[in-house]
Amino acid sequence: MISPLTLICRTEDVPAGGALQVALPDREPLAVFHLQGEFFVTDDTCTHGAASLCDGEIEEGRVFCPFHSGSFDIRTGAPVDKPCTRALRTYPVRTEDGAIYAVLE
Amino acid sequence: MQDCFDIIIIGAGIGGITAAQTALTSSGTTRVLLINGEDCPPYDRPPLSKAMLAGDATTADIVLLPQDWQDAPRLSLRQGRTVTAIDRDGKSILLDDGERLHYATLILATGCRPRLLDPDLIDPACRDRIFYLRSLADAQRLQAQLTATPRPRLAIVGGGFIGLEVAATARQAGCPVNVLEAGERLIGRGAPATVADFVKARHEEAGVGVHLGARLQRIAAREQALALRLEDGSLLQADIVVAGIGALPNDELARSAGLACDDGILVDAACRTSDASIFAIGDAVRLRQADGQRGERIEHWNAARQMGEVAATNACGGAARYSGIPWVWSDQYALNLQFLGVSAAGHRHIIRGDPASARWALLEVRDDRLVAATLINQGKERRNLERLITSETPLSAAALAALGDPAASLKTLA
Ligand SMILES: Cc1cc2nc3c(=O)[nH]c(=O)nc-3n(C[C@H](O)[C@H](O)[C@H](O)COP(=O)(O)OP(=O)(O)OC[C@H]3O[C@@H](n4cnc5c(N)ncnc54)[C@H](O)[C@@H]3O)c2cc1C
Ligand code: FES
Repeated sequence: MISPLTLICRTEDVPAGGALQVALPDREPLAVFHLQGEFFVTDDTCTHGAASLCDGEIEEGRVFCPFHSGSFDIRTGAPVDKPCTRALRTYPVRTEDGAIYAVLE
Repeated sequence: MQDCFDIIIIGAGIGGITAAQTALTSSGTTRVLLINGEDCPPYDRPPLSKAMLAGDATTADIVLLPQDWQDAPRLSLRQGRTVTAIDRDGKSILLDDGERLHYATLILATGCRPRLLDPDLIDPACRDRIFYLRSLADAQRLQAQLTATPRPRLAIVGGGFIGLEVAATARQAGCPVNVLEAGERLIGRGAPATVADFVKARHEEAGVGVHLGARLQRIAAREQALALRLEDGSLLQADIVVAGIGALPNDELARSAGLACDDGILVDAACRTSDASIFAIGDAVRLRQADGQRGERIEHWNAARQMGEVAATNACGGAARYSGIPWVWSDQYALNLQFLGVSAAGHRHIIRGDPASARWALLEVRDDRLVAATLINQGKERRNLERLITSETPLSAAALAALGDPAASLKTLA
């Protein structure tokens, strides 16, 4: 079975080394990260509180939450620094013709 | 020997947990025993006055030690057991059920307890309507009150972080709230007056009655309610009182073992006590300064975490020192406040961003160096500002101008 791909955004909308928040209808916002030419899609809301991770700082493949500086590995969603202890949901990504798609189900 | 551990840690708050995790990862053989005096899995305290109190988080959300860590083969846990004595000569500790356990290194991470209101001020008939907030059990008791119908009226004694967070949460739950602060501004010494005024305005906008210079004289029962009389003669009605008037270090165990204490267990920058085999960390300690001056007690989550790393690294033969700058956050309404460094009168202030936008920062400069910062919904800037403060970089006129320009990146300065 082929998993449905959802169009998330265009690659040029995500600054290199940065993130873009994408709000799709009927679901919590997503974060798109751009690390060294690769794109990653995760939930945008921190698993520790109501912070938007797109508003955080990205360093060495990790995103630091703007509220309490907990961090996640952007590639895997694994929590790295406390107070974050629960993984961030990540979604498989495909880029095609300058568009970023993700499998959201 | 079954009852002998390389490291025994007393207290399973953020300090003790971080120490245990650091010791287990920095050495492949160290056996650690963690003693949790509370009768529930180790949990994180900051959410107690925020998401837990609001009912937005469950106990599963605030777990400090994930399951895979609890199952770590070199970690032993004792839950709901308190340490009643330390025998320094025999290098052992005694638990409340009589069990004796031996250590090579001991780490005290016993935290604080709330300072209580003077019992002389309180009519004994009111005692069960006075609340404090330190433990999960405290938060659950208070949460049950905040959701009662009709909503209780709260009088909060103390306009520090805990009092203000409870005020915000209770207000959002629909409770009428008054905050009584004895000082002339909220948050106390930790915050510049501009920020204290900003926070006060936010609470007043939410409908909280903020009373500064309000000194409590008496809490009496009046019909079904409580009457609080202030020193200026005014009277205030409430159904419950929440006191957030500071915390006292749990240093009795250390004192009765003869360790040097002074309102807190005294430690050096390596987190060592006056006994070389015993470290102490977090809210329970007072740092000795290198010049012999009486140092501070730093009752912040991040300091306890950093000291946990330092003590465990040193217990495993390393040479770490606690050198962080103070950093504390507070969440009230939609405001995420962060305080970095040591704020003081006489610093030059630079405002970055627009205070009317609820996204701004107040930066404090002394001798062309950044020494402190208060961030309001600006956590993104924290790491760069922290680097600028710790590196003590002298700032050029252009750099100072950039600090005041929210469009200018701080990354290039740090
Ligand atoms: C409601 C609340 C909100 C807070 N919010 C923030 C915030 O937003 N930001 C921030 O930076 N800080 C905040 N803090 C402060 C922060 O939680 C503390 O600085 C931190 O918990 C200190 O960690 P600790 O490990 O030193 O001590 P604690 O977390 O106090 O843990 C100590 C543990 O040791 C146990 N213990 C004591 N004696 C014994 C004994 N003899 N035997 C066995 N166990 C014992 C205690 O029961 C306790 O479980 C908040 C604190 C509270 C109470
Ligand atoms: S909300 Fe993200 S670390 Fe707390």
